[in-house]
This record gives sequence, C-alpha cells and structure tokens, in this order.
Amino acid sequence: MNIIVSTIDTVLNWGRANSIWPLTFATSCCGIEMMCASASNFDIARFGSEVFRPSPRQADLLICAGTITHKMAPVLLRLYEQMPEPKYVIAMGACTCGGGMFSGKDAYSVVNGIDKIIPVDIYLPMCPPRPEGLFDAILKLQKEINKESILTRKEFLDSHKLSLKEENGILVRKDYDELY
Amino acid sequence: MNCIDMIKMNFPDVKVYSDKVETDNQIYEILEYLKKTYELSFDILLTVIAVDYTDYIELIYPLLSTYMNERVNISTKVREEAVSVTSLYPSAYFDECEIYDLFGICFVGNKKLKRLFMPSSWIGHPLRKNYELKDTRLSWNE
Amino acid sequence: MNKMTLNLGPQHPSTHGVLRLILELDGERAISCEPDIGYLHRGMEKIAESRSYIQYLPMVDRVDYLCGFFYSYAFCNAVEHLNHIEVPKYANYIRVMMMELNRIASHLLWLGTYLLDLGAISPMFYTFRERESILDYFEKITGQRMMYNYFVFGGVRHNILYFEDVLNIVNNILFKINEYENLITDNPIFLSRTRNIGVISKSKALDWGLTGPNLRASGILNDYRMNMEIYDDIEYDIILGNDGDCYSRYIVRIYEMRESVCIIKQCIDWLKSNNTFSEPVKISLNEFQKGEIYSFVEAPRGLTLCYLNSVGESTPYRLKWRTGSFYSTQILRDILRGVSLPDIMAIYGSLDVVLPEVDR
Repeated sequence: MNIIVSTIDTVLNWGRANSIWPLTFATSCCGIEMMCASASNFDIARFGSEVFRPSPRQADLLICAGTITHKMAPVLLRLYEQMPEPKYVIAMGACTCGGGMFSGKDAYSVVNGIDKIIPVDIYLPMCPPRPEGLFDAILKLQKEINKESILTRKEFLDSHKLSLKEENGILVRKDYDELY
Repeated sequence: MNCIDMIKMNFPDVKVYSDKVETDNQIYEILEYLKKTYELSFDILLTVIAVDYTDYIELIYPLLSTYMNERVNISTKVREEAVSVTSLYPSAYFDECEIYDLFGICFVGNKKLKRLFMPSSWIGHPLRKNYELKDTRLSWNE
Repeated sequence: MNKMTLNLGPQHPSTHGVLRLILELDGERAISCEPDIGYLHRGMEKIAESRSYIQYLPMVDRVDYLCGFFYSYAFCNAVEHLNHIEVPKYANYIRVMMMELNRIASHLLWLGTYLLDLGAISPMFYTFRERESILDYFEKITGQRMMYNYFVFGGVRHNILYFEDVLNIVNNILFKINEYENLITDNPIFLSRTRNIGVISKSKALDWGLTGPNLRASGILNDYRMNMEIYDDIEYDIILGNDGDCYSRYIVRIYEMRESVCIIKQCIDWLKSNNTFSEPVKISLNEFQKGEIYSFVEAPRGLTLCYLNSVGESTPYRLKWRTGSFYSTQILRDILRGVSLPDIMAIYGSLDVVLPEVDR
C-alpha cells in the first residue's frame, strides 16, 4: 500500500511542482517586479510558471504582490476561496509579510500581513523583492510541494481553517457577534 | 494689473496673504469670476486641500490658468459644511468626496457624496487630528 | 431598453492594479461608468503627520513606484524651500538627468502594457528589455531597482560617475524607439483600435483637470517644466497632439521619450565639463521653519503637487499629494458614455493610470 501511495505521490508532486500557474494578483509595487519577472530579461517560463491566469478558478498559486488594505481584504479572501485545491500562497513583499513600512498605528487602513487572512506557504520579504527573489520563492515552493503526500494533505487543510468573514465591506472574525 | 489686484477690486472683503487669498463665504463667486473672466480664465482646479486646525478646517483651492501660465490659491475656513464647486469645475467631485471621507465635511450642492477611499461602513474620518483607530471589528489586525 | 450592470475589477488584468469600474451597459454600449477607488489607500498623508521628514523620505517613492524620482524631487524641493537650503547646480543637473531617465522608463512600461491591453503581446517584451537597461543603471547608482531614495535635502546622496553608460543606454533607446514606431505606428490594427477612439476635447480636458501628456494630446500647451528653475538652461520641445484621441496620446508619449533623450544628453555634456560634486549640507532636524509650501513637478502622468504645511515641529503638520492619475481616473465618468465595451480598456489604458498614485 505504502509503495503505491508513494509512487502516486511522486508522480502527482512532479506534475504539480513543475507547472504552477499563478494568478495575476498585482496590487502595487511588487506587481511591477512580478511583471518584470515574466518579461524577457528574467523569463519566469524557465520555472514552469509563465501561464498567468486572470481567473482564480484556473490558478494554483496566489502570488500576493503588494499591500493589502482593509477595503481589499474581502477581495483577497474571496479570490483565495475561489481557487481550487491544491492551492499555494506566496506573500511577496514586506507589506504582505507583516505590514512592512505601513505596519505602524498611523497607517490606519493597511492589513499587517496577509497571514492574518489566509494561510501563507512562502514568505518573501524586501521592499520590493527582485525578480530573482521571486524565482527563489518559487523554487522553495517546488521543494515543499515535492515533500507532500495525498494522505497528509487533509490534515494540513484542517489545520488551516479560515477564521474571518466579510461583513459590510470589511473583514471581521467569525465569532465577532459572540465576542462583542 | 495682476489677478490678485483684480480679485481685490471686485471682492473688497478678501484678505490677501503672501501665497493665498482668503475669503469668508464668497468662495463660489470668486471661483466663478476667476474662471469666466476672459483675461484671467483660470481653467484648471488643481485640487482641493483640506487642513485640520482642530477648531476649524481650512480649504485651499489652487487654480492654474493654462492661457496665462499663472497660479493662484484661494482659501476659506469651514467647520462642518462647505459649498460645492462641482458645477463650475467637474473635477472637484472626487476631491470633495475625498474630503468628505477623510475629514467629514459635507459639501452642499454635491448630490452624490460618498466615501471615496475607505469602505462604506468605516467609522470616523481618518485625517482629522483627533482620529484614533479603535474599531472592535478590526481587532484581528493587531 | 435592457440595462445590465457589469462589475470590472478590482482584480482584473487590464486595470494594472486595483481599480473597480461599475459599468451600466445597454448591449455592448456603456451608458454610464462609476469608478470605485480606494483599494490601495495606504494613508500616505496621515503617515507623514507622525513621522519625521527623514523618516518620510523613503516612503515618498512608494506613492508612485514607476516614477519615484519625481516624487522625491517634489518632497525634497518643498523641504528645501521651507528651510531656504541652497542646492548646488551640479546636483540639480543630476536630478534632471535621473528624472528624465525615469520618465523614459515610465513611458516604456506604459507602451508595453498598453499594447498588451490592445492584444499585442510582443511589444511588451521589447519595451521591458530597454526598461531593464535603465533600471540596471539606477541600481548601479542608487542600489535599488524601483525605490531609489537617492535625492536628499540639499542635493543628491552621492556623485554619479558612469556617464558613458548613460550615453550608451539613451543612444540604444533612441534607436529602439524607431524600431517600435516601425512596428506600431502604422499598424492597421493599432490604428483602427486607437484613431478617433476616446476623443477628449479641449474644454472637457480642462474641466476634468487633466494634466501632463493627456492634456497636451488634446492640444493645450501646458508643461510645468517651463516654470521650473532647474530646467532653465536646458532646451527641449514641448510635444502637442491635436486630436485628443488614444492615438495622439500615444504619439505624444513616443515623442516625449525622444525629447527626454535630448535633455539627458545636454545634462551629461554639462556634468562632464563641470565635475564639482559637493556633499549635501547637513540640516538640523529640530529647527524647521513655519510655513506653507506648494512644490510642483511635471511627472510622466501629469502635474504633481506636494503641499507641505509646517508649524515648526519635526514632523509635517499636513502633507497633501496632488497626482495626475487621480484626475485621469475621474474623467472616465464622462468619456466612457456611449463607448463600446472593447474600447473601454483601450481608452483607460491610453490615460496611463497608476493606481497607488490615485489612492495614495
């Protein structure tokens, strides 16, 4: 049994890791570096990720490139929920990793890191990261995918339950009504 | 005769400072005069700047004349309500919505005022000096 | 009549960011359009009120990441005027040179993505190749590809030395612009997508506050570089269009790149013959003057105003950005009436809107 599962895993992981289709989700500065990564000098096609999909239903990878504000947060959550399994997230740039230069109390409208909203697989700090940094993140993600198994995937998903919901255009905790 | 002299001649109540002309309640009339007088023709309203001085809010209207290549700043002091100039300069619509959103000033005459930047259910006006972010709905973001 | 409401964005590949358009359609014709912005409102103006001038300086580049030098210039210029700091002529020439290089990089990115919106994929690869050569030079000088933080109060951070590199880059770009023109300007598909599409008349452009290349494409002579001191000794032409359609906006930007190359060459000639770099003066951060400053700069996307209000503290009392894209977005409320659906993206792309500049 184990031999069969591990063989299936190898084949599945090989396919998944080498053709990751990202979603075009460029919100700000890092989005330009993402475009540079897909253009001629850097050429993301070398890593099998050149097929940028505009629709979340066709994408495997959400590269969150740029600051997420409170107005944008419900959109991000909905896009993530629309993506089919298996799905992965790269938090690109310091803003998405933990707020970056906008993490102070004075920046009233910025979400301090997208990991408060959705689970993140790879963190890629810097403001903004170079295209090489994005390639490094994709290679690291490929390594992670190669370690996966179909038997443990369900446990992984159960441990990443989303805890927020949309209400009147902003995200609140699911247990907000009980708390306050 | 430069434009500040012309404003002074037609509107004797204004106060003239080094870089701006201040008026109490004639903002619409002055802008109309500046736009429609042929020798001046201040045709672009660059933006509307709001500054919160805690007990009142100052609105500054920088104007540009492409014909004369000249600039002038008109300012006025308001508390809660101001006169909308969208019928003169349509470009003021977004500016007025922005000030309504961030400072909480209502513009009389602008029928489609809305929150421009923040979500519609946001509490408070962020660019006011006494604004504090205390919304229990956003407690997850700390 | 059968009305339909169509929501476009905020996650849409052609909006280059996070713009949301709410369109009312009758069949394929748009009846009205309401832009919904604010998805990238980061509170740049509020942040300025709680951070000191030096702390705010790196954030200025993030207001518009495609032309960071212009925004740094506007902010530095405001602080210098406030405190009566003299900037050496040599530093001013470096600033002009870097700003014009940045203008070319910004226009190149616009050209590539605009044609991508129209359905032509290959120009994007060409323009990004040339843009990359400029970014490499910026990286050599400032250490960053996009967020430079190179202009400081009273001058520039350090001297630049590689003049031959710049000459090679701009000569190459001049050659490549001809190549783009061969490919695009007379292309029948491109012409039919842009000629007489999205016409903005003179009075409409002025009413809605357009500035920069979009205003000049409508045939109105207005370039704030005429009033800026640092451009006094430099000769250049101001490019005017006459139709105000998408095609003349394209032509204006193409010719502006050539003019920028001309300006850069004049700067290099001057810099080479007067190599007198001096370190920027150190200013005391606790003794800021009081006053209000309006600092203007002609950015690639229109007239940019940095309004600085200081009450003598170490932080600004109020800082306001006036950006060109804010008004280019707003004009969509008017000019998209009666336009067919495929033309909407052609018109929107030709206005060269960058969303963080709109939302700040």
